[in-house]
Amino acid sequence: MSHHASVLASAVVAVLGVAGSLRAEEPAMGRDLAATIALQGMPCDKVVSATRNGDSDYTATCKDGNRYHVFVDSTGRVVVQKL
Amino acid sequence: MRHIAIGGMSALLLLVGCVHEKPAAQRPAATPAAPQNAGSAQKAQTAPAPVPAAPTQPPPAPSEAGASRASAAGSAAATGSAGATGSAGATGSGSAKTKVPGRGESAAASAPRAAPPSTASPGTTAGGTATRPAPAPAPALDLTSLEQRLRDTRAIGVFTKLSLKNQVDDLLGEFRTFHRRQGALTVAGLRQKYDLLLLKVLSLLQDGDPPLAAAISSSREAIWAMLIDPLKFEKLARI
Repeated sequence: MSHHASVLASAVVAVLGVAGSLRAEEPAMGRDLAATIALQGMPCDKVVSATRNGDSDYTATCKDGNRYHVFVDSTGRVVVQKL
Repeated sequence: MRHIAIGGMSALLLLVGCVHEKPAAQRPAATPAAPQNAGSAQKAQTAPAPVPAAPTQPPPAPSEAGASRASAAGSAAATGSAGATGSAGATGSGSAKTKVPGRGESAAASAPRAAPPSTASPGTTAGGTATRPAPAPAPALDLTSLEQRLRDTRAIGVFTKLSLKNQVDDLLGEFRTFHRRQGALTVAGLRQKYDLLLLKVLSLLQDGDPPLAAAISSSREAIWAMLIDPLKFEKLARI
């Protein structure tokens, strides 16, 4: 019984750790997208949500309500399109 | 009659003797120049007064005399040692230094004089101009290292790095066009774009990777010099 309890506890800890790492990456991804949008000369003070569409393809929603499609085209250039 | 004559003679002698005694007693009291005679006890009593006065005056006299003797007899050596002690111990080094050159120790005076300028000029020249030019080449502009550090830094995200690389490539293309004398690009316009791009990089790095930001900032002019020089730019483009 105690063995099962310890296994369950470790599993919970592992899940929480993964979730924590994902949550930690989200702000970094948001900052990266915000910096990318700003580098393209478009307004975005902070990214509040980001949806991953594919590899190097995101849809970002900024705090001011603006939405952007950020992706890497076939030539390797970062493209920011206002939605 | 004889008794009267003898009495008169003795009285006269006594009077004469008294007459001689009185002036002799008054002289020593009036003039102290008579102490050498030392005739009476009064002279001996009055003499001690001037005598202690004389010894009190001589003590200062010997010191002055000694100083004068020292300065007069061995002026060079005495003043030299005095100047040395004065300069070493007291704050009167300026006066000692000013005296020393005037006294004739030209060798010793010229040596210290020559020493300060020699030490000062090498210090300034070596520390100011000789060592500063050394750091100028010191930047050495290790572009490869800077590029690698930019790739490895976690202060900038992947999208941002890729976006920056795109803008760097665009700027390099403009420099290439400028060196080929194509288009209407000017040095001032290129410099403005270069500064703007560098400002973007620095603003992205200054919080997350300050050392790399400082390294890039310190290499700003070196990178510009490399970009604006056609030969260096060609070498850079080949790399």
